[in-house]
Amino acid sequence: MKHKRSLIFAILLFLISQYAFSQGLEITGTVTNSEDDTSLPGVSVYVEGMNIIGTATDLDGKYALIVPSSASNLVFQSVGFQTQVVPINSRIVIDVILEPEALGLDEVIVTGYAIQRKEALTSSVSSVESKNIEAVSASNIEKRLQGNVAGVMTTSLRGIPGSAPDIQIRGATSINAGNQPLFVIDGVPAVSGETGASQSFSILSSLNPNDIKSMTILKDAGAAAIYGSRAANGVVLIETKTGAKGKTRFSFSADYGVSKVINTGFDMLSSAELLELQREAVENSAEYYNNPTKYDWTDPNGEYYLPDELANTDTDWWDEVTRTGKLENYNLSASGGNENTTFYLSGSYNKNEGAIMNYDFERYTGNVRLDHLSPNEKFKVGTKVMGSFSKQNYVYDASGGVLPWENPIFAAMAIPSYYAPFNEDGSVNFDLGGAHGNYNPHGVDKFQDQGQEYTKLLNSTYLEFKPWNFLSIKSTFGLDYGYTKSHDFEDPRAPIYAGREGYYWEGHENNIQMSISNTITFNKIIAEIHSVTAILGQEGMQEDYEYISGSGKGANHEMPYLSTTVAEGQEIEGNPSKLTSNSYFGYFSYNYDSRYYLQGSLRRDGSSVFGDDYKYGTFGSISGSWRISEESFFNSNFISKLKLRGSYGTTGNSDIAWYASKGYYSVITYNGESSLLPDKIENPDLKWEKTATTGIALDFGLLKDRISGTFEYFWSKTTDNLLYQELSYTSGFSSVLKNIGSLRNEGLEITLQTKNLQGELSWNTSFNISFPKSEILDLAGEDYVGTTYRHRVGGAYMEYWMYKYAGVNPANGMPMWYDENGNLTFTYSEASRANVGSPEPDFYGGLTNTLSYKGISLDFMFYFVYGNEIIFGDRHYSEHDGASWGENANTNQLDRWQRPGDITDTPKPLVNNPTGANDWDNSRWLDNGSYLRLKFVTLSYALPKSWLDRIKLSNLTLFAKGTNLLTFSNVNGLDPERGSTGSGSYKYPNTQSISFGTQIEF
Amino acid sequence: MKRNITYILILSVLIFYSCSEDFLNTEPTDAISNSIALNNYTNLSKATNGLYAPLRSSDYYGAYMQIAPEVMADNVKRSTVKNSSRYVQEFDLSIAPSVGYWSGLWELPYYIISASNNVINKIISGEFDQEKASDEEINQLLSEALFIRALCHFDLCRLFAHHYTIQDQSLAPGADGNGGHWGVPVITITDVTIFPARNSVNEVYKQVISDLRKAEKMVIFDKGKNFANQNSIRALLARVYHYRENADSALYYSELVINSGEYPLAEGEDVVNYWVQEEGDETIFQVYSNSNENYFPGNESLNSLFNIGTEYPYSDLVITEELLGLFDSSDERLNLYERDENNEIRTKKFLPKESYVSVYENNIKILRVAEMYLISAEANLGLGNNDDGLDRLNELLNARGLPDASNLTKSLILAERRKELACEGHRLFDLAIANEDNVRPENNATPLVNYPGHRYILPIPVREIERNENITDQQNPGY
Repeated sequence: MKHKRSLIFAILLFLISQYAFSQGLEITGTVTNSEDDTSLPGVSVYVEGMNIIGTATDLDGKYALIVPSSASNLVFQSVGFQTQVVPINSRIVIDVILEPEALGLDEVIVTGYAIQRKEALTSSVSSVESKNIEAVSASNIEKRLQGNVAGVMTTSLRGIPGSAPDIQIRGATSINAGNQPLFVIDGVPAVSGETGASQSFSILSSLNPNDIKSMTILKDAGAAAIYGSRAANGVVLIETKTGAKGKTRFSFSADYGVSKVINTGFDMLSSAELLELQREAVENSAEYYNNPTKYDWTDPNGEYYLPDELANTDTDWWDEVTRTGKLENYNLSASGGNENTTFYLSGSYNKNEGAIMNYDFERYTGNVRLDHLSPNEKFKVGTKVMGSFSKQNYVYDASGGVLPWENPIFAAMAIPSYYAPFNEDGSVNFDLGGAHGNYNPHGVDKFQDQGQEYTKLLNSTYLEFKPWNFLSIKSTFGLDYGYTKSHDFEDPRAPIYAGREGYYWEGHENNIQMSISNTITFNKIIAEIHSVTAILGQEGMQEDYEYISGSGKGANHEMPYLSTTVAEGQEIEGNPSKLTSNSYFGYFSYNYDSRYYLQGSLRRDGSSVFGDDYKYGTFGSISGSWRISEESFFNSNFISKLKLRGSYGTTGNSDIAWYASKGYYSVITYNGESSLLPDKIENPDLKWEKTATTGIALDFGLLKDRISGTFEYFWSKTTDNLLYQELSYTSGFSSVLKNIGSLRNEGLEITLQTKNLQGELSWNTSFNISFPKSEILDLAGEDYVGTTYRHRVGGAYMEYWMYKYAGVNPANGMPMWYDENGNLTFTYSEASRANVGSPEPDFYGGLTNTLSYKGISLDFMFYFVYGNEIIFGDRHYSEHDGASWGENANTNQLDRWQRPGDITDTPKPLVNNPTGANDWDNSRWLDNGSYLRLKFVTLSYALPKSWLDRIKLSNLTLFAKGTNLLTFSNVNGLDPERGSTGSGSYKYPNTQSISFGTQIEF
Repeated sequence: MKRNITYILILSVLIFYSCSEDFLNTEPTDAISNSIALNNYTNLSKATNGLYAPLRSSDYYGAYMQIAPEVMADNVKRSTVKNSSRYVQEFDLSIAPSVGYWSGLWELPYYIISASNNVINKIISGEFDQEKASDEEINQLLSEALFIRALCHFDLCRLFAHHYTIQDQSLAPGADGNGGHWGVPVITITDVTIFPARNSVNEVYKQVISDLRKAEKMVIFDKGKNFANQNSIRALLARVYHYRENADSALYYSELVINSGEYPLAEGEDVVNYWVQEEGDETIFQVYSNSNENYFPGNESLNSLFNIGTEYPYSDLVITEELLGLFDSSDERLNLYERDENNEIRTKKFLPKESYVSVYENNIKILRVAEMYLISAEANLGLGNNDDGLDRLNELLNARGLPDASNLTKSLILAERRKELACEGHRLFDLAIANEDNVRPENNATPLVNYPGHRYILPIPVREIERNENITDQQNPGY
């Protein structure tokens, strides 16, 4: 009975609809993708001006629509494609080919818990094109951000394969807590940062960059406040690829390349040059120390005998440690699905043989993504499992502030060219006259094994329930598991390791993060012009970290592992710890007639790291925009788009030690008994560091968006800065972490995109530039003076605080400094420190060009930084003026003072130079850190469709890509890219590479 | 519709699942939160045990506390061959308040005092679970903690404040010949908001003596020489009274220790062997040394600085010719010294102990019975009991292979103290107590310091001066 009634009702409806449009015209057609001629399902087709009359294409890209006779144009719209407006002209069959959107992800953008159309944005959100992500050869995705987005400074101190850059979004907001952004992968906050003993392995380098669909950066609090306590440094949202309904598509790509370290003008002395320098130093010393008998290089029995024979051997140790690196990438993916279920599968292998000996990186990944929509379209479930295994070989470049002799870059700069790397019988030469502890880098390469392995499992599963179109309820469960095993073995057969008696060390780290988030989303357009979205949600997270390491003596090359042979001097350490958080949040957005937009968010966040009464903090934002160009009064042919937006919000920083607020006793040993001693004093009042950000921006498009761009300015102020307040030692403690101090960041960011040529030959340019400025406002009376850096009120976030070097006295070749009163002095201890510069640039940015003609396309990006100061700490050693007697020096020492009247900054050399000329904290080491770099060039050629059809392929592209091919800079070192602190010693420089590959799809 | 509502209900449960309050309360697993750390006898006992470990740090008895008073005086000098730049300022007496190793000698004792205060105040409050422990066992912990608090206060006072009897107010503001001058802050509770001014020396001694006398009455058990027992408390009392120039009490406590009969003087070869024994007879209190335990001084240890050989990286410290010249040829203690390949004099007081794993291991002797004989002799002399005093001195001399002395004088005792206690961190204090000049013929930079003088004590580290507004104007004059 019931069924019958429904049937009648349906028939009635059918009749009515037939009647309503009986005066219309039925138009049919097929919509296809211009890229590969495949049909496009899900394209909305509607009558222009009457968007209630519309339909969508079916699985085969076909549509049928009855349109009123008054209709003149049809609109074809689909995410990721350029919208087309097609005149009907009385046709009844209209086939349309849609062009993919030039800027890929332009239509919609994921902004945290919500998905927005780009024109609806009210805050500062930028996305990076996947094309630009893929253009850079780096094993890790973070490095690929550089130069793409205004306001995002990405800079790497190390070029070690697998290492991470420093990423600062709109400056550093914190002095003591972390300054790295929060990474969110498919809606789940991800564990990031470094893991293992190498100090150069980024957790995110375990991801396959080819699995990434988009990276979106939430730069201001307006967008990021929804992530509350972890968002003060911005948020990077990573979306991974999903399947699409349609026929199964396979894609395979492979590339192979070579790399070498960037060297903008650094070289060590040859034997002849070193000999000349050393002899000069001995001669100078005879006079300086007034001891011609002792300082006589011609005396065969003397301490400083320097015969000609020394120069018979001339080894270029830099050549010995560097090599041609090799890059290999293979990636296979398949995706597809039907109306209800889609899938994406991929597997990849990446190998990166370092350009310096001892450094390698290898990665295997696998990824499965499944999404299912129930036939009644009310339930959607999906799951993703990404697994990977990575291996890194490395050498410590520094451990705990100490420079280890094992570091090959250190060795290359220290060992005199007098010594041969190998003995005549081919064995490693361990007799380097005691120089550099006889640590021949070939010996380290052969007899020391340092490495780590990282196993990653990333899972997220969601269930979404849509009882009505306007309401959806979603639960997402996330699991982020990482296991790191690091090891170090020193083969006792090598004389340099004999004293270590077969030392073997192994460390195991286990990190499990589990999270659950639940949201209710309400979405409705009321009376056609009021569009409302509201989200309520909750999120809980728990992270468990466990660490255990063991070491001992007695291992040998046959048993290089932790076994019973490693019986002597055993040490074992371990430490599990836990972090939890719980949050509630709400989000609201409203727009009126797509002209006025208003958004707000509120989040209440609780975290275990803070004091008992301050576990929860509240963060929020409000933002709005006005699309002036949509107003009826606005009528300009020149200005095609104009939008004004502004935002204000607060975010927090909780990136401090997990038990920072706690005071506790540690377990120690006395007389073989387990004992307790106070470890840390508690601060039960410890709370969030808070950053409030205000931003205004103008988005514009000119000449039908041929030129478009954004001008933005932001001010952010961080308060309750987590700083250590020093105490009276009589309390038993030196300092306590407190919420004191404040700092400000502000900056101008400009982004421009131009379509220079359109048509068969197309040329697009995009440009971004940022002018950052930071200032410390308050340190609560604490002046943070480090050895090289200083944080001071009124100063930039970080400043160099060094002895002011005044060059060399032309009369006697002695180094000079400025003293307290600004007078010249020869005495280093009288030199006075001054703020001599900052690692913060005046501006930085990127310029990208994309040219394409038929199947050929050329993309290249220049990255630039200007106005920062950097330090190559290794100059302290390799421009030692004789202080590190017996070690090699770099070619800057050729400019040394030699005779009265010489004008130079390099003093005369002296044996064991006591003048302090090469001391660490000399402003002599400051370099202008400005540089311009050709970040990437990609040239690709897609074979014509007609050829491919014959071999049943949908795409075959050949490509060549170069990374960091050119660097223009004047620095006295290898690579001007020096990380956010601007300095470091003997770091593996960034590399340049060139690779060739192919991508095949069918 | 109905089904929709059911689903919504189920999902609502998921969404509004609320984390319990405990979810955000995480505790470290390799450590115990302060609030609960000392809540029961087991933990109080462990926290008392822990107080001993930092005593062996190189900042304290593990090196600096024993080296500084020697290298700043006339027993120990820097090698002219082995030079790792350690103790240069101390040897040259050019210590500047802004730099130097000695700042640890201010920081670490106060840290130990703070840790002791936690134990003491917890026990006094009674707010803990006594478990199955007897009152005696609780008192034992209290007395050990009091002993260590007293030791630290006393050491700070003798390092950073002038001798008790000083009268020169320009050197020691407030000096009245009776400890009225600047001492060091007396700390009896842990409170980071306190920035204390200096107490007078007299006040420090009062606190030290009160702590020790309380401890002396409550201590019951003898846990071996690596822990405080009644005799160590009494020996420290003897030393404190000796410094306070209270001969009556110094005599009383030193005699109690000697008469306990538990610490026979070493004789013959044992005078040398004693120094590497795990628990030598002469030792009243020592700190256990083991390279696997916390605060092990490693290559900053006494062993590392005094010995020479490929296993020792530093070897900066040698013995003055003057000291060696003082020993009679029949003196067994002469065997504690020998010349190295560079003809410099090395001592055998800091060799690796018999059971060593690391060459830096040797139990650190803090109180030795020989000192009790010397204190007794001097106290007797002060009280006019010359014969009793001479007996005590002669017992010591005989044990060292020397004949009886016939006449007891202050200078004889001072010379004997110098020979007996050389390199153990006494010399500079002994000179100050005796009001003797510091004559250093083997140092070119500062060959003579007249008593009194600011170079008999250390400057308060600049960081404390800058950070603690109540001490800002209380730097030791001269620095």
